[in-house]
Amino acid sequence: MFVKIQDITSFEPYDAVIIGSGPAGATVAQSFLRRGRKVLVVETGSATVETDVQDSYSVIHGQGHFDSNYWPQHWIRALGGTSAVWAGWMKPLSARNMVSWPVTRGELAPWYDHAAVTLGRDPMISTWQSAGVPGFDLKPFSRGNTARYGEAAGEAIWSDTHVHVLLNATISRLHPRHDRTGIERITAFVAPDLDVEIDIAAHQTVVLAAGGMGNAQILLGSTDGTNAAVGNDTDQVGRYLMEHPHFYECATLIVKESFAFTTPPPSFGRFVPALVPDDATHAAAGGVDASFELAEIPLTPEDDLQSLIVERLGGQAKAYVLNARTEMRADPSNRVERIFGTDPSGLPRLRATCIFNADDYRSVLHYLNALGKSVADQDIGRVGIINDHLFSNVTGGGHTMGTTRMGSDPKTSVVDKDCRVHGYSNLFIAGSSVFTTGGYSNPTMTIVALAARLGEFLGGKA
Amino acid sequence: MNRRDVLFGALGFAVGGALAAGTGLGYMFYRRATLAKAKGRRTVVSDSLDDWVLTDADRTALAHSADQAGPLMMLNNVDLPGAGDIRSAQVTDVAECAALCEADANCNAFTFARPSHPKVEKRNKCWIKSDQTPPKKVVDIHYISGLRP
Repeated sequence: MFVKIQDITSFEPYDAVIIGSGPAGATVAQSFLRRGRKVLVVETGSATVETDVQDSYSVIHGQGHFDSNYWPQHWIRALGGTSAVWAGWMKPLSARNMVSWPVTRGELAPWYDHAAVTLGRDPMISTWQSAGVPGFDLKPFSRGNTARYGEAAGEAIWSDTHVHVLLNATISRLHPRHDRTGIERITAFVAPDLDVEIDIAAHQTVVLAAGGMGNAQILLGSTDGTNAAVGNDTDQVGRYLMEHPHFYECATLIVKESFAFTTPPPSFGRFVPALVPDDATHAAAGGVDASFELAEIPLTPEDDLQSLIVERLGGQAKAYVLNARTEMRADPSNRVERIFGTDPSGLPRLRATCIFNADDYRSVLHYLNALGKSVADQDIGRVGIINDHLFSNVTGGGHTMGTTRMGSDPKTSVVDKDCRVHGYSNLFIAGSSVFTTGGYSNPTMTIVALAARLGEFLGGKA
Repeated sequence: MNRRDVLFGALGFAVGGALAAGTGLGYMFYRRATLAKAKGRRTVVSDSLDDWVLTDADRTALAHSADQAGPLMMLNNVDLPGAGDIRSAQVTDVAECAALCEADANCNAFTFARPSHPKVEKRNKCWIKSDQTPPKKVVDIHYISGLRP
């Protein structure tokens, strides 16, 4: 249920304060309410997306491959968070995408099933695959209806009496205990001009679920200037910023008319076919993952090169354009950091520096050549690489990951395997900011899986 | 015109059944339009032959075609503006345009406007030209030109 700040006479009844109402915050809130426990959810925005809120709060100075216009488009400040612009693509990370994580893919499996069901899909979307061509498997993306947590998908959560939603409020500061082993107080800015101090009691936890940018921003802003910011004793907050490099139309695949791949059963739902390197091909490319969507296009009769390829394939052929969605290496120099200025709540303005590594490009090129060789060797088809599109036309997926990364060593990470900020007993983080590495998969399914796992961990404690 | 007639890039095309073209192998690497977007449908054109991952057999077949190259040099995706137009004609395809040039003793170059040309009046138009050394070569995906070497 929605509450006003003046209606809250005591913060004592809440078991947790959840900062953010996107898929991560909503999922954690749901775990609490299912156990009859109460939470306060704090959301900067209103019930719907408002331009002035967006313009005041989602401000990022972008350097590198993504500019200042890019990041704010994927950091929505309203009830339901960035699910408001989610395109509905789902795919879990695979085991090889999680080798650097302190959590294994196997441990996440039941939570992926949970996420699939929560988001309206059959859990088999996580495992179904079929033969592609030698060296590559067909691993389709699931692309069904979108779950908008500001709309129908969040209705049951936000209307529940155990969940109190405070809109137009921003947590602008976490105050650490003197010994820095936990959070003793948080400051909430309630628009337009009220600062409210909320004491965190021994039974309460704080969950940051403010998005890939917001989680880092709140930590970086939580300092009085004399000590390191909360969670930032080893200068790791904001580092390892990752996106998913997207290379649309980076190659043409011409195959014999008879070429066909097995399509998923109806229970898979709407799908996007994609070729994904098998483990051997993946290792040979240097261990960075990628997927290549097969989008059928008409042959281009006036393209003489294509005509030759078709002739070489026996005269009857069809064409696909390949759209690559790829992994970006986790690099500590890609980071968000505070710069001059603040948002209306007093949180620092951020600069995001995100530059793809040359090896990120080389891996994609390696895969395209491997795919070309595979289909040519089998005489199934031929691949034409479109160099311009690969190197001059890269974009992202609107995925902000890695800024409070998970790891067992506090020197190279911000949260532990339970998503708890290293050293802080009552501070946890939900969302894609905890991803240790990003794989190529759209992050929403993993965000919900990790949040459900965290919700169980927190909500299950009496 | 059969498929053998226009093989690729500047590799060759046939006039009257004999493959013509030849010395213009270098033009094969003329930068081609990377993406041609026609209304209502999407087409993707690759940059050059080298961007294709081919087999040795593919390349042998390609070399065989090159051996049969003849007198006219093909300039794919090239317009030759101001190269001394003698006359123009409506033709059905590039081979017909090349044949007109072949048959004309004064013709040293031609330019054919593809059916995909945005201007309706230029589609399938063939210009017979006198200049053997055109003042400029303009890369434009809507044209194929030919030049006597």
